[in-house]
Amino acid sequence: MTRREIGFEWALEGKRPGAHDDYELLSWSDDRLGPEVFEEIRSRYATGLSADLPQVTIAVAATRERERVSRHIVLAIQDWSGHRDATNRKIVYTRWFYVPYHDLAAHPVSYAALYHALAGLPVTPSPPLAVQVPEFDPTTGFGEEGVPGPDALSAAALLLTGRPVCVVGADSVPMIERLRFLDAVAALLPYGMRARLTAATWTSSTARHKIRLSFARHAPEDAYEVRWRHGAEITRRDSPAHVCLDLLTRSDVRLADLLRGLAGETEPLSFGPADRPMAVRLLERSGYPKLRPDSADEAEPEPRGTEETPDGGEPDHPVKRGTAAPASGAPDPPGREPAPERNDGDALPAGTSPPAGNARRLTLPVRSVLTWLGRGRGRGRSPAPGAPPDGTAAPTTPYRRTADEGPAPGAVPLSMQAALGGLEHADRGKQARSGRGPQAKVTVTVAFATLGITLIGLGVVALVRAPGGDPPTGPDVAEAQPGTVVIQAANRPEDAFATNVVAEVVRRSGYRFEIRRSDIPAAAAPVEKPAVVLIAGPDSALTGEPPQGFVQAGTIPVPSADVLVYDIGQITPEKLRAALKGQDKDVRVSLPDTDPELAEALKRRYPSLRLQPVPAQDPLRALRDKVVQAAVVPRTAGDGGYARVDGPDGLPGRTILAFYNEAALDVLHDALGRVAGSIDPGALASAEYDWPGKAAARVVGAVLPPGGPSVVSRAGERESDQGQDSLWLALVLIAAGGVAGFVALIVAIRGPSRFEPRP
Amino acid sequence: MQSEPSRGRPDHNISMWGAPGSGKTTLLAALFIALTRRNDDWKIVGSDPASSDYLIERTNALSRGKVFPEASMALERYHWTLIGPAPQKTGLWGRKAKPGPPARIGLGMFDAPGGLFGTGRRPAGGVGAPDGAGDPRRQELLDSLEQSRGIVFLFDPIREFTFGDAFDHMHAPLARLAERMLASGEFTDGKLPHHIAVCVTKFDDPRVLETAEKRRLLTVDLDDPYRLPRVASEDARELFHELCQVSASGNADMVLNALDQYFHPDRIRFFATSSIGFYVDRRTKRFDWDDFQNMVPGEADEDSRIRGQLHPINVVEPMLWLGQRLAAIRPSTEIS
Ligand SMILES: Nc1nc2c(ncn2[C@@H]2O[C@H](COP(=O)(O)OP(=O)(O)O)[C@@H](O)[C@H]2O)c(=O)[nH]1
Ligand SMILES: [Mg+2]
Repeated sequence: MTRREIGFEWALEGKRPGAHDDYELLSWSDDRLGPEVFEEIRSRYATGLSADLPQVTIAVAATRERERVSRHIVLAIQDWSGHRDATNRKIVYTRWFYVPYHDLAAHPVSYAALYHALAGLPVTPSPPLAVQVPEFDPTTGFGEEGVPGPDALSAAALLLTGRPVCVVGADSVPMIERLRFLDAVAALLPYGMRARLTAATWTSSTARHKIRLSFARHAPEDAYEVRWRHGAEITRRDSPAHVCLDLLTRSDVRLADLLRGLAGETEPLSFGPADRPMAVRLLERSGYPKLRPDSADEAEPEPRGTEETPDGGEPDHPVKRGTAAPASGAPDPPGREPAPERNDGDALPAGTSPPAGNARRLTLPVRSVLTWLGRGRGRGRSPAPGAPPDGTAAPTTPYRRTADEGPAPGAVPLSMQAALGGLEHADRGKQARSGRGPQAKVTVTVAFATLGITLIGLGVVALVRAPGGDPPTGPDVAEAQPGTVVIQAANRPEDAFATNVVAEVVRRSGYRFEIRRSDIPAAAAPVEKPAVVLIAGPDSALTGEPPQGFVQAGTIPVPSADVLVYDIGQITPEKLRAALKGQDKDVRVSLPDTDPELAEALKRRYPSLRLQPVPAQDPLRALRDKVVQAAVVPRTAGDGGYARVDGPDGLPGRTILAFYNEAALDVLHDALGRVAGSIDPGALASAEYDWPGKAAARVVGAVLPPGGPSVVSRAGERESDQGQDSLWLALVLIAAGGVAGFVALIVAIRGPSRFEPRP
Repeated sequence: MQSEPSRGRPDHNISMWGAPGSGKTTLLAALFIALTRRNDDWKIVGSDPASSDYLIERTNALSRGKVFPEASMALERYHWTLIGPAPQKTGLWGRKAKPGPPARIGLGMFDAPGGLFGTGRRPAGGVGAPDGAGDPRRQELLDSLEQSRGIVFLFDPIREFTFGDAFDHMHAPLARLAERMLASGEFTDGKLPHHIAVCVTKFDDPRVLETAEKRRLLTVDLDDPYRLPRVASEDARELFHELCQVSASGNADMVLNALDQYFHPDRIRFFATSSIGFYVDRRTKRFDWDDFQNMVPGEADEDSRIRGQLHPINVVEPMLWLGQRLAAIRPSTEIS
């Protein structure tokens, strides 16, 4: 792999050890950029402080020096400094690295590669300020599947609407994986958009931030929410996001070609209304490698990375020398169309339309989206006001599709369909309404009338065919339609979490569950019905063999059922941890005398602790009497207000093995394995593990989408419901038909002859 | 900056003011515990999922993890609702008593890094207004102040003793706020329209407690099972004044003057506050003058810890006072 040398400037934000003051810039490279730029950018792109460090923020900065705009991609790495301030709070260092965009345009690299190269540097790097970064391969970096997931696809498509996008449900995903996700999304956009893309692997849900593509626990009100591994619901087929999604998943384009094409588009592009049509065009054009040589003579300019032309006006206000530009890297303000953002004189290459000869191959309703994008503030057909006078950004010629062509089917290749997963759902209704032509009235009337007739017709057919509500009988139906998954678990309260996880997975897969408890779950499990058996892992004395016909679905880590609490007046947490590691021999710990198994396990694991049994009715007694410094207590008993050691530092956890039979495999697929694999025992213990139901819903929710209503399990009930259903269906259809007919009438009489586009 | 979009706009916005480390974030973190420890029926509920998360997590970290929050790096905003007890309405002739709807006070709370309130010294060669008005976060902070009608000003006597810069952290935002109020015509009678709760923080610190004791300002609430010493709100101003005398810069008195200049006297109230409260032995369940320190300062590379259970003092009171005063001025039903 070739490596590229990338130059950078840097600034360090933090506090001096023992400082009484707030975060400030401590030091910076004394090069072209001055401290004002660093100050402004660090303040503008503050994301809050995550408990889980390191985190990475990608910001952008544009400065103007002697009439030249220079753009930087800024990579900020937040990590603990190892120092503390005057009130003993840990000090975080944020290291801001500024990389000139034109270097990156000439030698594209990924965010992750840049991060790896920069993270290893000393906190105050000394010259020469350059790092070796492996060259960018746009076709890699899509995880195990090798193709972008539905989350990355929908994030990229939604970003092209101009609104910010927030990814939720990734709390327990490692930072580096989230950073790769940001790369994956960026790879689905023209490379030049990186000059304006701001992104972060973490943002505080209670801070207002200016990051366009963010991760957070809850999405901000003004942002599209994309669920990790699932994507977003983009369904209106005419919505711009949908069109972009279709462009990203065309069947006649190889993914690798598309990505390579996008990576080659290094001209800086903004997310503003003036540049978005261009971005969509580039998206549309990418992936037809054969066409590129032809289009070159259609005046497609080579990337002019090193040439900074004077800025055309206000687009992103690159400011006077040495000052940072305000946030056009930031998303549009909520609740309204972005303010008119004029095009950079240099951002739009002239004649970026592909040659007319290729128009045939462009089988997507791109025009509609271009029209929508260009129309942000104006009437449909005219070029967007922000477009340069030559009209390159206006949705004009080679693209114009004739009306009779209609929207093309969004054919999606098989591999992509798999990846698209849950994308095709109800619309979120956040897209702008598009204007309709003057014939709208006639069209709408006819449409409603047709709809009405069709619905009534269907309703009559359904009515005739309805079985009349007689519940049919027959045991064979029961076996044919299994709606319930049996969860066979041990009869122990400690297993509640694992049982809840499985139940939640079943529920979210659209099935009912039935929890059965027995002392030896393996022996009681049904074989023919879908069933999951939970068996204690090999670390427990209660472990056992799975029944015949069952295979392992996953290993569910479970924090210990006990916690260690201690009296902070008697022992410091550091000392206690050292004792648990066997480095301190003088620590006395009490434990309930009813659990000899636990006593044995602790003795084996921590030979240096001095264990002291106490009556289980009052496990805190010895601690209260200051006879011991720490006590093992069952979680359910509460910690009596003492401090506790939990999570990875605490008592050793256990594992529960989940096995399923073939029938369960058919309904759950690998959902259980995926969920089990995502559980981080450390995070779990600290995150309110004491409520197993909630904790289970949380871990499952991070991986699976919310479940639909579960399938009814009893066959008789089901059939009878079906009978009723079709009767109802018939009536509903007829009623809906009536309504549609009525609407048609109303529209015909008094509807406006034209729907005005949104002002 | 536009006002919050559709996400249920809180009725009343309150900003926390104070120097870095004065205890702003800890006070908010202790709010839930403080309310649960009271035996009237006030509750606090998050008005959006992120604000609920904060309450749950901070409460856990304080009460179980026994650790203080980390220093803030961004302007955080929380939306909470204080839900009060249902007032017992007496029916005609004192007959059937029908509970009325509980009082609800929607709070929007702003917690900023304390440095933003400072005079905004810039690194060498820095440009921009001397108070750093060009800084985007400062700008956001000022916007939040303008939206708020309640202020909780935290005065950290320990910091004042060492640095004496409380005045700096009050003066700059106050001057800016006054300027904006003047521009929007809300400075008509020469005072700001705001209510301000002045909290003397870290009351549990021996130096603070002893100052109050020397001035004979301590009282004990007989209803309090733990018999924790307190300073009544009427006396808190005197405690504040007393602590100003030991200010490192001697500027603390100016805080009092500034308060009187900018705020109506009946819109200022003083509180002697401790977010963590005093240590109380689990067996005796009584405050002990020989062993009351609840804060275990961390050594070298350790976190500062909270030793026992939290018994927040005057944490809810300033919020309730502000909430009730603001609700009286502008009932939550009114659309503004
Ligand atoms: N003794 C005592 N110390 C406190 C109290 N509240 C906060 N502190 C200390 O002050 C430090 C800073 O508090 P913090 O709330 O982060 O201050 P902020 O910067 O104003 O938000 C904490 O880390 C504690 O060490 C309190 O009620 N009592
Ligand atoms: Mg704080």
